[in-house]
Amino acid sequence: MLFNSYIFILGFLPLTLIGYYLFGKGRHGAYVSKCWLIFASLIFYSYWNFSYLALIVSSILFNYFLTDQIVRSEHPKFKKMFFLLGISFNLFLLGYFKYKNFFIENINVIFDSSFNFTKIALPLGISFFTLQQIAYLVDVYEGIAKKVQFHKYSLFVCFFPQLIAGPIVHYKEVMPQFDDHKNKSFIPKNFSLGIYVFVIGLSKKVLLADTFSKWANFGFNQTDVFHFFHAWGTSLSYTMQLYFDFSGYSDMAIGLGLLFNINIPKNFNSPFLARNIIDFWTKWHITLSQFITTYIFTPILRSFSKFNFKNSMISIFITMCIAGLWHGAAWTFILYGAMHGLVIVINHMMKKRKIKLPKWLAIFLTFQFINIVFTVFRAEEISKAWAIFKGMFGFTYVKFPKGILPENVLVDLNLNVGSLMTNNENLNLVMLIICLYIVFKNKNSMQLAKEFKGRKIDALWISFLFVLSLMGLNRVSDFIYFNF
Amino acid sequence: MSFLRLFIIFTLSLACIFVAIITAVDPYERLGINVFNFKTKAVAQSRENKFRMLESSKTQYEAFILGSSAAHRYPTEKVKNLTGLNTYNYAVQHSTPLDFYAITKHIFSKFNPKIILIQIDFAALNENYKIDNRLYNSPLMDYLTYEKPKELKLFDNNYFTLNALLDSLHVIHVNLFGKARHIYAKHGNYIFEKITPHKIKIKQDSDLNYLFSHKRLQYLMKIRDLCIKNDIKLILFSAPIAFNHLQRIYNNLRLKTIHKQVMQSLESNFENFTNFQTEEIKKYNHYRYFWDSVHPTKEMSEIILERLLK
Repeated sequence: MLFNSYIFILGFLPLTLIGYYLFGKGRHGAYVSKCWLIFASLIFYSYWNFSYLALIVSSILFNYFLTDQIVRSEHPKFKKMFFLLGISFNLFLLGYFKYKNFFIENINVIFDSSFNFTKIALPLGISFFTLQQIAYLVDVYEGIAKKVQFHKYSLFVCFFPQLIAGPIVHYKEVMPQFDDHKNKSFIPKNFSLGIYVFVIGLSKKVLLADTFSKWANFGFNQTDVFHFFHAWGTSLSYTMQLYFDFSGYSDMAIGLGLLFNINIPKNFNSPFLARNIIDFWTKWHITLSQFITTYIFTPILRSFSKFNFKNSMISIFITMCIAGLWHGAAWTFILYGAMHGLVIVINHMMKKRKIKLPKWLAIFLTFQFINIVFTVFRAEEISKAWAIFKGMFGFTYVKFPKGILPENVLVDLNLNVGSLMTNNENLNLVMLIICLYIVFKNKNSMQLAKEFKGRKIDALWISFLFVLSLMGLNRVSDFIYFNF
Repeated sequence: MSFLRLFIIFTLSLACIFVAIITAVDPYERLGINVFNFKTKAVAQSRENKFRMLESSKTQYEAFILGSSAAHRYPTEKVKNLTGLNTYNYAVQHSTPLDFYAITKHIFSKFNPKIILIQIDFAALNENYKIDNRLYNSPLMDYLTYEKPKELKLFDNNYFTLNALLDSLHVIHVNLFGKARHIYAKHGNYIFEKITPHKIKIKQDSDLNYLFSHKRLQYLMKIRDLCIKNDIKLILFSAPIAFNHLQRIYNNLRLKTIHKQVMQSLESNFENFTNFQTEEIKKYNHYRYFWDSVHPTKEMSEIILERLLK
């Protein structure tokens, strides 16, 4: 079920909320309301594809069984055995559903073999719920986390606001909240804030991301040579689409959490204002950054015999390549991760040598880099990304879209005029300018939420966005991160 | 008042206002309302207008012109002069063979035509050139009972969408401040603009990601079979496009190949097919003949009709 659908907003969500607050009142309210949320979350998940319900349920059951065995085992050998079994199981699930065909394809290329591809649809949210369970498994094994009751564990994994595309929650962040009895009663302040944040996210998705998607798809689907403005229009449209799509989804998840009095960690913090790529990863997909730092980077670094700058940099580079691969089974994703890794290493070297750029230049260069790597991220083939880069950096030709200046002025200046930037160049240009202003100059949704006072004007503009978004829901589209 | 109450009140109020605007303007003329007595529904779709015009007409039409916005411009009196048959222009904007199929079935349900002229755009056989959603909202949909897309979502057929709101505002704007467009004269004829010297601009960039739709070709073949069965003369012809547009297609090797393939398919499947998308069009490379690269002027339309019917 999609957050941006009528069935979710007008059907599933109100029913789930009513059930949650109704069941939360009784003697066993805390327990029943959790069970209700688990039930609702499984319906939410299986609505997409019923056959994958078995997958998530078996994943939860098996992981819970293993964590239980790790806690019960007294001998370290058994603990380690169950731990490794758990990690292998989770990696196998990911490998089978996400990377199988990628490996077969590469094996066929390397060994000139002809193993058959199997058509496997990627189960929704598998990357996210698997990561959460790996984190829990590691912490139980290391003695940091305690064993919890089955229903609490299940809810931690499948709580529907963050189930499909994050934010990736750590059990420490949400489990105490699920236990808090106060959270089972209706708190108007949280509910208002929840609606406020949810509607901001919904409008980001429906009104902005889906509008940019038309232009980005138009650009990435075409086979022609990209000229200068067309290439920039295409790449910036995708950057805006990705940002508003993913941050919109995260806002909706956070807003939904608040409707149930659960604080889900923030995932974005004005990432395009980052001054370097290290900074960028503290503002973009924050929960993934925290996960990879704790559960990938640290173990890799610890595997080196020495802690020094060189080993740290190698660890960072490997970590980012893995993070790239986590996004999808293609070489473009590995390249995406490697490019990030490389620039983070350069940033650290600059830091070490105390090289500092002026703030505006640092933000500008970081944004340009992000725009470039997102083009790699979107392109199905590296050659397509390359064709766009050639256009962006003037290796093809320049044609001036008429929207920039009146046509007669462009003709008088003897400029090459008239080619389309995308299929609706003027609106695309206007939307890009507005959205660049929003991301660079405006407060982000989390800052707005922090300052939320529930004033009349807030209610008015949120209602306005809500009604417009509802009316725009007839062009339902998936979230980009559903594919990862 | 609390935020929640205000939110509910404002949401309901705004929803009512937007619904009221759409209902009052009725941009697609689905409800038959014209509260503000607008001269025209600027974005009103020809599928509805022309359907209604034909339904209310008492003329016994025997010839029909089908096609996209370019075919709007074929004057019915010219066809009548050449054939002696009462003619109706049933061209609709942004149409594909699915529209033609529905229109043909509509025609067959009311009339006994002798000739059907279909002008087919190169773009109309492109799978990536989307079928206009307005078809699904139009009364023509009744003639496509088994062709409805399965994935129609809740509210898809509803009138109260963001696009309908934007179109309503567009209608208001055009009627109050702009020039009214898409008004049809008797027999579905187009009201021509005055020709002034202009540069022929290239339109329809959707050609760039062309994917030849065999399914759409099948719809044309269904129409052909219906015509054969009912002893009706079907004249299919490719829409004339300006030379700069044709050159643009030819400059792209992939497009050129597809263009050739599409035209060959039409030639081999339709006995009376005439292709106007050839180098011959070069001699008409003048503003007298084209408004833009895909829309002919009246003069050009008459030349085409003469070529087809003389």
